[in-house]
Amino acid sequence: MGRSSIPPALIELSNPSSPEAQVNALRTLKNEIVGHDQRKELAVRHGVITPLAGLLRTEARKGGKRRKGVQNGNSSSGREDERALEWSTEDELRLQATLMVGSLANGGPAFVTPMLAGNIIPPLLEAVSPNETPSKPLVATLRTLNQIVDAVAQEKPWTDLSDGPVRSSLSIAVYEQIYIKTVIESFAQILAQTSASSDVHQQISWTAKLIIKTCREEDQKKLLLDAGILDLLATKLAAFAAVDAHSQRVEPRTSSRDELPLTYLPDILEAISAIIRDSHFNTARFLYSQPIQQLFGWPKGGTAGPYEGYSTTSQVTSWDKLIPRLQTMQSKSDSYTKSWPALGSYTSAATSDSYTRLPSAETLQPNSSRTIITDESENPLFIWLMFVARRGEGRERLSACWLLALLKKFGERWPLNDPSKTTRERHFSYLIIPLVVKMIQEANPTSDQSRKNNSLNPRAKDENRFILERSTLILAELVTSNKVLQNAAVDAKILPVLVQILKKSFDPVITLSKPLWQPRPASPQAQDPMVDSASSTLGRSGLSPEVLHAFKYRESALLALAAMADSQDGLRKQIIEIGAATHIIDSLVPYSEAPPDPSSSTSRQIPTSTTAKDGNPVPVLIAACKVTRSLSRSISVLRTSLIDHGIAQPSFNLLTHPNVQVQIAATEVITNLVLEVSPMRTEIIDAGALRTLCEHCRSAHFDLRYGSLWALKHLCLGLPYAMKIHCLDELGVGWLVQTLNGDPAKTYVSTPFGMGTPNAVGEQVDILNAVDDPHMDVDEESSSEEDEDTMTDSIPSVRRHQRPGSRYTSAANIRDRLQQIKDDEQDLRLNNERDDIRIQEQALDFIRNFITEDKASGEMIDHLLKSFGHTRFFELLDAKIRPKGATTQPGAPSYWNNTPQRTSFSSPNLGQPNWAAYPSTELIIGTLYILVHLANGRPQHRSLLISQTQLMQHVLPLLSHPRRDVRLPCAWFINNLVWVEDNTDENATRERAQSLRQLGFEEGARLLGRDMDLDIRERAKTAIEQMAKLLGDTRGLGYGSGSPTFGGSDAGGVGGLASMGGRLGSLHSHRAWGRDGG
Amino acid sequence: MSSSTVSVSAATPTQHVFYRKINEIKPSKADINFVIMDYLISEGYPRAAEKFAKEANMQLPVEEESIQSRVEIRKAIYAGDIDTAVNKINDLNPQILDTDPALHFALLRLQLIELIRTCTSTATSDITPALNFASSQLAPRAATNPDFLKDLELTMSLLIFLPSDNLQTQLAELLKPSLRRDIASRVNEAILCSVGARGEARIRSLVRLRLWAEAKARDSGKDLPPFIPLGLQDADNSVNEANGNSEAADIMVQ
Repeated sequence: MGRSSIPPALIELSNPSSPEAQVNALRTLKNEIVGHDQRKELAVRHGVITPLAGLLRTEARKGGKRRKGVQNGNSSSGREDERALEWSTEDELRLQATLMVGSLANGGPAFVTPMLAGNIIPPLLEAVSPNETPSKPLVATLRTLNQIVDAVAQEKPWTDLSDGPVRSSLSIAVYEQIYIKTVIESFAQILAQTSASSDVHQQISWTAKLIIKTCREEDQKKLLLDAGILDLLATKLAAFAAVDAHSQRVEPRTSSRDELPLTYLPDILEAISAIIRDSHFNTARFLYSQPIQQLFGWPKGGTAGPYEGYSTTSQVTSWDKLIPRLQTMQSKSDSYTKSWPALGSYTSAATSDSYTRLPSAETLQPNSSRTIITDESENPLFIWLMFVARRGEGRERLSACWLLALLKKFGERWPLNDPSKTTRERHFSYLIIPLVVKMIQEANPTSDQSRKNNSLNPRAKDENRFILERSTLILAELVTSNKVLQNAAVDAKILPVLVQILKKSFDPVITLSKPLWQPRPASPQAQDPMVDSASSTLGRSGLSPEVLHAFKYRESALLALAAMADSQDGLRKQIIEIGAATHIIDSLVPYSEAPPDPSSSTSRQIPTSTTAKDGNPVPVLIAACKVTRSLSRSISVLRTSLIDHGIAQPSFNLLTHPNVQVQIAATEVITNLVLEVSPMRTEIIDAGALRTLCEHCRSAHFDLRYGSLWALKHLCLGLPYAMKIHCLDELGVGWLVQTLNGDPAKTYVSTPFGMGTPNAVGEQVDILNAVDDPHMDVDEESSSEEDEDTMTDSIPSVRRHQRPGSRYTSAANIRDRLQQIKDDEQDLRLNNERDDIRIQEQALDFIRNFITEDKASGEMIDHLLKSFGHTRFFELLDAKIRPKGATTQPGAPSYWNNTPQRTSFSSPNLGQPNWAAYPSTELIIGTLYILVHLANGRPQHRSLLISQTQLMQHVLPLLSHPRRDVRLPCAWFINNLVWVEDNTDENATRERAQSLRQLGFEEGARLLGRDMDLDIRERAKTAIEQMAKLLGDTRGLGYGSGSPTFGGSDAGGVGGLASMGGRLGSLHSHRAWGRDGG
Repeated sequence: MSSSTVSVSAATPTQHVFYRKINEIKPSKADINFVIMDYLISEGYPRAAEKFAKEANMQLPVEEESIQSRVEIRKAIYAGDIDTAVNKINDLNPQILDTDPALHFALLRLQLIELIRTCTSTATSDITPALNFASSQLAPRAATNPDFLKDLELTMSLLIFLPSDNLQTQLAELLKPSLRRDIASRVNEAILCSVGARGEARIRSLVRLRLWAEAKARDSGKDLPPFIPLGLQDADNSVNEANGNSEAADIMVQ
């Protein structure tokens, strides 16, 4: 017995005496190796892979031909015949070989390497076809593929290339073979089967699992979508839901052919989640898919027809009964009425014409602040998923919550026929958050419950592990930038649990996989020269599942903490108080390259010392950076615990981590740490952050460039002059100019940026994007919709009221909607433009912070103008505030035609601003603030500015920009321009005022003086008075003279200006701070 | 099923109020049939399931072959032919034993016990096969887990004491048919789980639920009859015995 039987069986296998003997040899061999890693190794060393691959290949070919013949022969009842078809020796041979491969794969990633070398996967994949392979071998094949994928997942995560994808080489090789068109189409065929046989159910389940385990990247998802797999999964989901819908009613139900036993529901839900994750477009494809629309259809009159044996018309109402009814307290005062007080805006002047074109505050909100109780329903799909989450347990609950979390995120970006935010939050905080928290508590490895679970069978243990890894991730996804849900989770006492879990992940892992004992010491065997060496050499062993699990749940716990801390200072402090900081710092330590690979492969098993404490793989580092970033938003935490724990050094070290995603995450931390208020600022600057950041600004990776420039922008504020100049030199004027010009062709060619590049969209990237999305969306909102209607842009609440109004019911509407979402997400040009605008905004802000000085000496301005060159610099700025293409479009219809004041403007440029033709509003604002600061320099600077006639003329129309954020800097700008520095400057200022009047700015200031915004009005009034005084007439005093507050005294003016310099500085840093504050 | 706790206590001389309540409840026939069918399939009684399906006029919910393989494996284990059982399990799905070392070890130990049994049945026989088997199959695995090691040592000590009529209880346990039955049911559960089904028949959890409810009700001082029979067997056998089927018992008698 024992080991001796392997070689003879192998000989029989490669040189079969008869098929029967071959089958027997295979079976013996399989029984030998099952559950015995040493024998698996021995078998591979003796070259079992090559004959196995050969067998699978030939049999697949033969079998395929045979089946096809049968299928073509009588297509009507092919399935039945297939089953009746005699089970031949060849079939058995293939089944045994398939099972054997699966068993080998159970040995871990070391066994996958020789399999890849021996090309064993393609014949397996070839067999994945319900038409060609009989049911049983098909199940076995799918299972074997799952085993291979599982093995690959155990590979050490840190065998990464520097800028390569986060996933490792083996998995790439395996996934590449799976994600080819023919294989995916076979998957679709499997999923499309509607038979009630349990074999078919298992095929569907294994296929779904395979998708869950492998689907990460954009192009994979696209393949799945193209094969219609998402629709098929949606059909299955709808069938599950239909059962529940019918259980609400008494009448008998005709069961749908797609119905699966309930045990398979988690597979379906997770597979859908895997495909729609990180892609709004894919999510939309799911939501608007036929089965979902028909079953959960929103049109309440019943336009939906019968679907697969059940009609949808009458069940629309029954969904509500699946979950408890929640009443929503809604305060009816909303941001609209707050930011646009009705007072004055209607009575004052005709300027408000522009606003009356929008639905006014009154019409939208008849009673502006009144608490009312509404009884709004959730969207039916959400209701059903909540019902599933409440009913089920374990994976079923988990998968329902996960899908809910993903759909909720989509709803925030692209509101569908969703209920109001309050209703949704209420449903989630009362029905879902407690469930998620409970799952986390039960999965918490330190809890009693979970210890009990550990004594269960391996399957239950695996499930428990998965719940621990996933439930915290769900929490992170749910509460990200949502205070209500964060508070709900805190009320359920989640924070200590999260920290406990995090702490537990650092415990030394008790490796269960101790090496097997060997009766005889393994003698180093001479390699059999007849055996192909590539396919008989084991690869590197992976990590033990325990260690991997620790990494995984550490990552999830960190992400959950990051999400919990992302917007509330109180929570950040709580997290620190319960002692999370130490563990977070530990998580920031990267894994240092492995001790030399244990060369003797008999000691393949992981030495027990490989505990989780030795450092962290990339995903954990990124998660740790995120939580650090969240925590560092609290200035008090920053100034106390974070500095106590020495957060600066580890974060800074990660800036130069080989993985670019880690670099990006670390840059985001540094961004907060180098703020003027941060005590770690000097430490980081001394460590050489400036140079690194400047280098990263030239990175090929957009996110890194963007993040680094942002960090530099923070760094630059308040630096000593010499350092600032150094910073500018390091960054390079040329680079800034190039960035500001936004030369698209150049930037994009050199950037390996794009949806299709695996580099850009590795798994970890997705996680990164997932959390960042909400912040980015803020930018997207304003820029992407500009083309449609800039006017509504400024008033979020208006848009919110408009959107749900258009129901996407008809096919054409749905198509338009999908196209819109698709363009937003995938259109390379749009995205490039968006990125371009974002980075330009940072560049402008950088310049602004560069010239911001405590004492307005103008030195930095001088330096800047010198390094850029006047003409070039002003041309750059001009380009950002003038309409694209032609400067004016005479005769074009405009909002302003009917405004009487317009005629009095002297400048021809003022004619008809068409805001759509302007650069992004963010860029206009950024540029205007630079101008404000320039005007805050020395008197010469003011004169210089005014002499830039073209630039000044382009500023003028902006005074009537619909957005307050644009008009405010305009008011400051005028104010600063007419500022009298000292007595000697008076004449010069008078000249300047004269020029301003000629340019039409006096009139403009009057316009601003009637602005509906108080801040702007005040600024403008000061300017008007100042101008009036300088020009010696009383024309401008119409508004201000009566008011004692604006006495026009010099002293008052000085105060105003002095405070302004400081104010803008702080304003800006505050705004920048707010970046992450979301 | 009828585990409702009763709080009303209108005393009647003839029958306890609890039974009257029970009589008032009319469980649905379809539900009962479902539970029975579920039991027959989970526990692997294909022919009984088939007959029952005919009798109750319902459809056999799964293919017969899926039950058949489990029956064969169970029979092999009951008969002490562990080698065949392992082969069959591996034919079905090698992952079951690959990923559950404890179950694999239990099966191999059973096999070792059988070997020892045959080795020691006659006075003159050779114990080398048992020793070989132990050193090649069990010893390597025993090193991975202290529990395995303990079990192996215990089993090996059988070699010393057998044949004997007067074994320690610990050792006698190893020779009892209940060990086979136990492992057979673990195998059955593992196979069921591997195809995504429930590991055990629903009636088992129902019985547990009923016991729990009874204990709970007695704890809170509800008015219950002093003894409520399960109604599954004549006497109040333990729950485990409740599923001892005659067919299975026959095989187990050596």
